[in-house]
Amino acid sequence: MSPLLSRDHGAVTLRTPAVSGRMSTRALVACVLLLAATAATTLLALMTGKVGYSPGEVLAALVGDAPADVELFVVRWRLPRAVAAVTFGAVLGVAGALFQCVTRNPLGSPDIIGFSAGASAGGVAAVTLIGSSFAVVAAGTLIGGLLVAALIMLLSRGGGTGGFRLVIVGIGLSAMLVSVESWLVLTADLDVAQVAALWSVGTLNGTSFTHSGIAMALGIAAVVAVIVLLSRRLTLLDLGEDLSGALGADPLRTRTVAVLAGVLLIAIVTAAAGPIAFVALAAPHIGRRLAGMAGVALVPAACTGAFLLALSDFVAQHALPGRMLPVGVVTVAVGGLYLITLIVRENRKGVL
Amino acid sequence: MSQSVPEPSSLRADRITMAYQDRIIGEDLSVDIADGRFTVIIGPNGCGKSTLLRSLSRLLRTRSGTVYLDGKDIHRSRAQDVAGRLGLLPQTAIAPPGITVFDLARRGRYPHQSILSRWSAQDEAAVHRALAQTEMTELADRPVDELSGGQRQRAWVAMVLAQESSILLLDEPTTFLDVAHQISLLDLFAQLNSDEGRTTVAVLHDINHAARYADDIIVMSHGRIVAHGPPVDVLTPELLAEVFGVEAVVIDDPVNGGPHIITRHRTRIPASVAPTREEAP
Repeated sequence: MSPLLSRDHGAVTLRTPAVSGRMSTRALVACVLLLAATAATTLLALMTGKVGYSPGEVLAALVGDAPADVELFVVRWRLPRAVAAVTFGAVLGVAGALFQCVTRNPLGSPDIIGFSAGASAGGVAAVTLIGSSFAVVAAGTLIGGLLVAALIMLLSRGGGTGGFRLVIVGIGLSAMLVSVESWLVLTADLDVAQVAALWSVGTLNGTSFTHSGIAMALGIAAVVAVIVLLSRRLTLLDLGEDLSGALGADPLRTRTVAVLAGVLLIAIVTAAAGPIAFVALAAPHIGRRLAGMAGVALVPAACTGAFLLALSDFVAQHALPGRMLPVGVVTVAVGGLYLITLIVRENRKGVL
Repeated sequence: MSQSVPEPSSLRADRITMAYQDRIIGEDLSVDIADGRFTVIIGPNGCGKSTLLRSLSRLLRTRSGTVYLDGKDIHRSRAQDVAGRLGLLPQTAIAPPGITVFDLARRGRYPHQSILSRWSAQDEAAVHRALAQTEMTELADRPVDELSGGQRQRAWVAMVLAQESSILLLDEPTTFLDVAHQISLLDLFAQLNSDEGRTTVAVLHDINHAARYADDIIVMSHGRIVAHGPPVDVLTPELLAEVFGVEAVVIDDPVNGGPHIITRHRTRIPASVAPTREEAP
């Protein structure tokens, strides 16, 4: 009888008669540290603002054991936003990991290859032409994302599995979608245009559980489902099409399901918070490096995404005194730097 | 060790037509892979060897005809069931940068795993056995991309052995290796085949390696099977001239027995040897 938990080859094994799994020790430590850092950032976000509270007061408020004014600030106003940052960050991280695995390219992130732009244009179209309720915007982002996915697949057909053509086609399509979005905003009524323009930067300002609660719940469920159902198949895709097929995981099916899941994840976040750029690009890569894993690494991507967005949103709230920036502004600024270093390094390796 | 291989499966193709889109590679091809034997496929570049392996392993859907695994149409069986009985090492395998030998071998267990059972005691035992058989236990924690060519190929073999399939298909497993590594790998395949009765099919380029290691040789040319049988019966000067366009003398191998081929000079270049692209699309 082997023990429940054991270690070998730098990994931890969990084994019961029905359930078994294995994770490298380094990846496990990296994920735990990332989650701890995310929790610390979240606590800090709940403590700070116009009125400051001590960690003790925040924890008391969370368990429903604080004066009404503390509870109002911490639980009603700050908590929804903090939870949104963590969950949406995890969702974006996983979405990015899915696309990067399918395209076999670190640039194959939804930000770059147009899925985010498609979801965003769909959302802006929904806001300007129909209305800004969550259901309408969600439908708009999902349809926009799926249309772009279909278009990119069609246009990059025959480009092989390298994914390079897909990236190039996506960049072109992205640029076109941005112009469509601008046109929609410019031709809309002023008040509607303002809502759409603010939304299209990506912001967690004014997040509430009533408006975004569904998106948070859906996001968590989708992330768990993708990690449980797809991670093993994706690691086979990393070994090449033929070997994946020979091991019993049809590569075409893996790829199709991964793209659909990725579009859905992006649409969930975009519908609730607008297009928050670059988290999906940076999180998978940073997560994989921290975890020391080869190929696709969904769990580290989720943990890194959660931390990145929690931190970005904290900065967005407190960088300029008395002014809340949209979190999208922060992620674009940080992500732009990341993109430059990525391109320089890939270029040196000769991948691009 | 012999318990690792389940009862032998039989693999055969019945009048299959193989094609990539509009390009027909081979038509009306039938072949029976003998259970428990070491079969080697030879033939000039572009004759359809890899395509035949892809068809036999369910990767390529045949235009017409049927591939049977254990008497059942391979395309009517679940992919994961097929993978549990038939393993393929393709030429196109990619090692993700930084992956260790152990993690690579571990991925060969996919057909035996499920959503909940991701690393059972059987999985662990099979991976350790595969690493021991390929003499890769010492290197298990090393990244594959830091290994020599011969060691890297052994890591891939460990992965396909961990799959514990009763049939093993190998697409040019010795290409790009120096002669010492070629021989040690072929010795390993021959040993696995004789010790465990694992049906083994390998595409090889070196005719003398085929002659020495194969129980049966399948000779392909222009998408057809032109000969199939023990090396002594198949490897004749006439066949070598017809298929490879070489004039050769066949002698008895003074060291290992069996036929040995000595080429005299090239008589002509058959169409399929002319510098065209490789056979895979």
